[in-house]
Formats: sequence, C-alpha cells, structure tokens
Amino acid sequence: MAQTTPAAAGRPRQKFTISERLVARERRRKVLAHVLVYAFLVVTALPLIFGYGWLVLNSFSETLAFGVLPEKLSLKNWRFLVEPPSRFYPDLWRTTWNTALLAIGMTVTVVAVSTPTAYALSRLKFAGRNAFLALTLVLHAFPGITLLISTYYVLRALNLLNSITGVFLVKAALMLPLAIWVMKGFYDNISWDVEMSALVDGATRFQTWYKVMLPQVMPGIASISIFSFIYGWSEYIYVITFIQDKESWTLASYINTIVGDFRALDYGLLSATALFYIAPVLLFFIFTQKYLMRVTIGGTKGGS
Amino acid sequence: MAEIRFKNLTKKFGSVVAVDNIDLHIRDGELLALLGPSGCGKTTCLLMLAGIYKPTSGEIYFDDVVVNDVPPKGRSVGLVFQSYALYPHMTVYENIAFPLRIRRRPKDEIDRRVREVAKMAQIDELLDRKPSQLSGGQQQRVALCRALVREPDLLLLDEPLSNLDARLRIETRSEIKRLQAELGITTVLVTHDQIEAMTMAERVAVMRKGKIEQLSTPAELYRRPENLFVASFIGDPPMNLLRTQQSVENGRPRLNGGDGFVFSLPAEFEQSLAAATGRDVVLGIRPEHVKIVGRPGEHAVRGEVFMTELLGRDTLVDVRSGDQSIRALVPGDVPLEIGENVWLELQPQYVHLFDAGTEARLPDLDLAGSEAAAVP
Ligand SMILES: Nc1ncnc2c1ncn2[C@@H]1O[C@H](COP(=O)(O)OP(=O)(O)O)[C@@H](O)[C@H]1O
Ligand SMILES: [Mg+2]
Repeated sequence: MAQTTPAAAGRPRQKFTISERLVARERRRKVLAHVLVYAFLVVTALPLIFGYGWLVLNSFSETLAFGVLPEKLSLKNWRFLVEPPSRFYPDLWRTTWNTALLAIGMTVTVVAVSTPTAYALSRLKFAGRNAFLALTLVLHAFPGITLLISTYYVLRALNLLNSITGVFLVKAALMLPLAIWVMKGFYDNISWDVEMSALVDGATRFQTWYKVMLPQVMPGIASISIFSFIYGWSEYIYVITFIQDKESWTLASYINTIVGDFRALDYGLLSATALFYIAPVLLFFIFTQKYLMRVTIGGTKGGS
Repeated sequence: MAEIRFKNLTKKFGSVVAVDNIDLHIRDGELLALLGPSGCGKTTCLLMLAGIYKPTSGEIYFDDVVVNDVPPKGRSVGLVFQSYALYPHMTVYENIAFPLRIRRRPKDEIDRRVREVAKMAQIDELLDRKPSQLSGGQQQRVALCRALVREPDLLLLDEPLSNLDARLRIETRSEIKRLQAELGITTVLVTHDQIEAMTMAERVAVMRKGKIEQLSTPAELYRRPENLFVASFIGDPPMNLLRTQQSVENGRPRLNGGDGFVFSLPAEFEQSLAAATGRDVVLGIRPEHVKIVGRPGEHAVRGEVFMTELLGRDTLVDVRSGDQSIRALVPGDVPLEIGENVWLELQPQYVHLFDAGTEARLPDLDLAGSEAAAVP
C-alpha cells in the first residue's frame, strides 16, 4: 500500500506508454480490492472482538459501572479456581475432568466406529449399502434436539442417566453420520490400484487396511477427532437434560448454574468461568486448524 | 519361474463378459504381451493372474497347480500398474521393502535386496524420497523395483509405459526388456500400444471383446494376420482393406471392387479363393507394400491422388480407385499433385485375402512365403 503507483508519484503530466498505464491501473485495482476485503473482515469481526474483549476485561474487574463498563482490576472473579463459589458447587477440577471425559469419550467412540464403517462403505459391496448411505444422510439432516425426550427414555432404560458415558454415547451417535461421510470421502480418494498392489505384495486385507489405507486417511481421522472433541467439550443441552447428579457435572452444568443462580447474576464470575471453559477449545483449535483445513481439500496427494 | 496356462478361462461382471473362454499357454521365462483396444479384457486377465479377481469359470494353472482359489499373497507375483500405485505415505525405500517386510524377512536381507534392485534400476539415489517428489519415470522404476524385489515367479505389467512421455517410453521399453531377459522372469505385458507389444514381447496375444484373436510372434502378426480384426489392428498406418467380389476371367481370378476397380491375381490364387466361393473377399495390402508406378502393369490398378501427407521420412498418399480408397506409404517427399492420375502396383506376394463373411484369412499359397517374410 505504501508504494504508490507511478501515476500517483508526482509525474502527472508524463505520458505513459500503454503497458505502464495498464500496470498502474492493475495495481490500483488490487490495492482497492485488498482494502475492501480487509474493511469487510474487520467490520464483521468487530462484534466478536468486542464480545470477547468484554469477557476478558470483565473477568478481571471488581465491578461493572452501569452493568457494562468494567471497573477496578482484581482477581476476585477467578477465586473459583481454588474454592467453589458456594457450597452448592461441586469441585471445579472434578467437573473439568468430567468435561474432558465427555469430549474424549465422544472422540474415541466416533473415530472407533466411523473409521471401519467408512472403509466398509467405501470398499465393500454388501446388501443394503446404498440404503445405509442414504440413511446416514437423512440422520445427519435430523435435528438432534427433537430426539431429546426419546433419548432420555432410552438412557433411563439403560441406566445411563446421570453419567458422562450416556451423554457421550448420544453425542457420538449424532456425530457419526457426518464423521462417516467425511471418512468415506477420504477412503474414496485412495485408488483401488494402491489397495490391490498391497494385496499382490502379500498383505492380507486387514494388513492392507492397517498399513496402507489407514495412514492415508489420517488427516480425516484428525479432522473428525478435532470436531468431536470440540463438540463434546462444548456440549450443553444434553448435559443439562441428562445429568443432575453433581458428581457428573461438566463445566456446562457449572456455568448453567451460575447463570440460573437465584441471587443476582454475578457477571464477573460468569465471565471468568466462561473464559476458563473456552480456553482449552481455543488453544486446541489454534494448534489443530491446519488439519481442519484439509477436510475441504480432502485426501492426500500421491501415487495415483 | 513358472509356466502359466489358461483353460477355458471366463470372467463375467454381472452380464458383462470381460474374458470369454480363453485358452492360453505362457511359457516359462517368456515375455508375452496382451494387446488389444481398451475394454477388451486385458487388465481383467492380469488381475485374475494376480489373484485379485476370481475366474467365473475355467482354470488358471501355475505350472501344474490350479490357482483359481489361491489368494494374491499365496502366489509369487509382482504387479506394476499403469498408475504405478505407489504407497504415498512411504518413502521409496519403504515402498520397495514392503513386499519383504510383510513377509517378515530378516532386516539385513531386506536392506540388501532393496539396495540391489534399486541399484539395478538406477534409483538408489532416491531411496529417501516420497513418491510425490519423483518424476513419472522415477515412479515407474520404483513400481518395477517393488514388483521385482521379491523375485516373483511371474511379473505382470499393466500398461507400464503409458504415463511416460514419448522419449522416455522408448528408453524404458528396452530397459524393461533387458531386465526381463536378465532375470528370466515369466512376464505378461498388457498394452493397447502395438509398437510396445511388437518391440518388447516374444509373443503377442491380440485380444478383442474378451477373446484372443491371434497368438503369435510379432513378425508373424505382421506378416500373416489370421483375421480382419488383427489385420486392421496391427500396422501403422493400418492395412488397406478393400471389399471386393470375386470372379474368374480367362482362367484368372479377378477381384472387383466397384466402379472400375478391378484387380487380377495369378491363377494359383484360385485355390485360395475357393474357400470363399460365392462370398465377398477382402483384399488386404499394407500401405508400405503399395508402389506408385508411372504406367500400367500386370498387378497395377489405376487411381487418382486424393490427398498426400508428409510423415517425415515417408509420405502417405491416399489414392481413389473406383469405389476404393488405397493408401500407399512411399519413401521421401513425393511430388504428387492432388487429382493426378497414378498407377498403384499391388504385388501378389504381399496380398492378404480374407473371407468377408467369416472375417477369417483365406488359406495361403506357398508363393507368399520367402519374400513377404522380410519385415521392414
Ligand atoms: N470391476 C469391474 N466391475 C465391472 N466391470 C468391469 C470391472 N473390471 C472390468 N470390467 C469390464 O470388463 C471389461 C474389460 O475390462 P478391462 O479388463 O479393464 O479392459 P482393458 O484392460 O482391456 O481395457 C470392460 O467392459 C469393463 O467395463
Ligand atoms: Mg486396462
């Protein structure tokens, strides 16, 4: 941007050749386009930046002037890290551990089920294959929230109410259609030739899958793991609905309780716990986003 | 080493008959080519040899053993795909070592053999690279090394050269041939490129629609195509095939191609033509055997130059004679005008005769022997 075009550089009466003029015009056009794009991005990002900024400031301030403006720096709101805000709350670290358990449980289940399922759907011919594919699409389109009550009954029948296991199983089930489709895409990208080569080279079907196919779908596994983990970590509605027992609370329940506290809502505490809740997800996302990007590009480049 | 036999081999995919009741004997140590247009069942044959596809009926023998139900890992086969099918997540070394590692061979043996075969293919500098960092030619060598490292009884090559540029293809052609001869491994080469098949193979099986149309040496394919399909498929530019009616005039057989195209054959051909009595005959002659002459002769037909094409060393001249179109391949740059009248000499010893109904070659005369045998 700092470099001005020859046209603007103070030789206005100079006669340009056609090509110089074209170059100058092209450069101006590019600069303008950049400015517009950045302006658009900044404007759309402002509410987010403002929201998160407020959250951070708020969590470190004593009081709010007029209920919005943070005043006086203090760590008071972060005291929940060492002692529960009131007797009503369970141990924070236990709650955090439960949240992680939910995220990890969901991730492991999704990966463990979708990886072999997608392989079968991509590579094997079996009766009902097309019906299965169509069904996963329909299931994916189905809003999970409409199943809330029926899953409640199912979990109660299975004695999985009030347990992290119950929630991550439900969450994993809802995530699976998408995960299977993503993984199937990755398998579909591996050429048959590569698979047949491995068989001819002396591998069994299982070895072929394990040694040749699996390494090539790793980016897919990474993506669905990351998505599952983030979804599991941030799950709210199923946790609130299925878990009352404080022993099994997750951070979502914790924050829900702060919001729903019968006394005046403590915005400082809410901000601090909310930050505590989203920090791992943000960090996780920063470190893993390059894998996520590959989902849209799909597959790995190579042999074929 | 192994000798391979197909017995009534058939493979169907649903209602598609990809390979149709084939009998074939591949000799121990031989390089045999399966040649045919795309979709004729070549790859299917290869994949049945590798054990990927199971025959629908018939048998495949490795030596005296029926291997129909033997899975790929139970056969000693090396396979190179057209796409090379390298494992993209492994280095060149790991790719070549894969067939040995999967068989749990000792580490030092693996190392020795990988380096040996890589050296032979001149890729020992590339062992640490990933396939995506290699050129097409290098990938092809890696695929070949991977197929050879375990010293298989049978080497299968599926269009191994078709992804290489023209120059590299010629080089690789002779290199593969040299390697195969050195190692003496029974090899089946699949290709749709007749030059590839003719230059590399000891014998060529020409396939069409799942059937073998002819199995013979390259020279024999060129000299004595057994039916119209082989005659039209082998040779570049392709053989002239002129549909004619036979008759006899003054004791000499004549072929009448319509609108004044008449070609007289020596009396001996009568026996030959007798096999197709009452039916049309296809007169075949290769463009390189058609001579353009200045004046009428015993075996000459009259025509008019329709088009000329300079191919570099030779010129392809398209001549219309009566209802027929005949191409002649003449050396050098020939100064012929379009529309010019010429005489084409079709020497009887180079003439191929086919039954237009059955498409089969008519029985040969002895005189066709010696001279025509010389393949240019
Ligand atoms: N796996 C398969 N499923 C269905 N049809 C197939 C399959 N493989 C080959 N075919 C069919 O069999 C025929 C022969 O194919 P192929 O052996 O690949 O021919 P080529 O290698 O000579 O080009 C084709 O018509 C093809 O469509
Ligand atoms: Mg093929």
